[in-house]
Amino acid sequence: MIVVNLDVIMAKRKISSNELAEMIDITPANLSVLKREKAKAIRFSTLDKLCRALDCQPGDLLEFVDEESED
Amino acid sequence: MEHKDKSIILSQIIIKICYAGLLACCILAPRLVLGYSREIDDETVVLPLLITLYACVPPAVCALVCLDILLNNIRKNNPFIMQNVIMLRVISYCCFAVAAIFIYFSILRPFAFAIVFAAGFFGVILRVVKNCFRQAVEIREENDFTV
Repeated sequence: MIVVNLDVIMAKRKISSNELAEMIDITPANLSVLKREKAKAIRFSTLDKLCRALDCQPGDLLEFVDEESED
Repeated sequence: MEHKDKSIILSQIIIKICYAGLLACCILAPRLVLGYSREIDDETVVLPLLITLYACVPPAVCALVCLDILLNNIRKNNPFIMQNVIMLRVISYCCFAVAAIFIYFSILRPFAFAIVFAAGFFGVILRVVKNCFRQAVEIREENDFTV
């Protein structure tokens, strides 16, 4: 599964959800969906804005965790 | 938009008429069945036909209630939700139930096989519509959760 490490990066950058939502021009509700890992997909444009705002790489935000091998 | 609302209201009125028709059939069924048996000059059909008709009432009521809920959801601009998929599934089961109930009577009177076929056919159509709705719900959910 894909794990979203957005909250970790946000904590490192000391940025709040509302600030980030305003910076990348998405609603706080949508940002919350992404943070709570309820999102089913992420647009490249959103990923681009996130990476720009948080000064990171897509790989810092998204991580692949092999659930099968963990079992 | 106004045309859409009128169409939904018309559908809801038709459903209310169906409720009334069903109630009338329940009350008048014995008289109608007796009349029919006299016409074909065979009194042995009275009991099986009455049992068949009254056995069809619960699925018919269930289907009408589901249609009502479905139309209410559509009126609230909520067509692609899981509840509507469930309603369509229940209506298709109701159609299959009516088809199954009429199988016995169609053995006695082969013309009733037309009802079995029609109800079964409606059931299949509704299942296909239900499958389409289910996919639409999944697409909508995916769209809603795309950030």
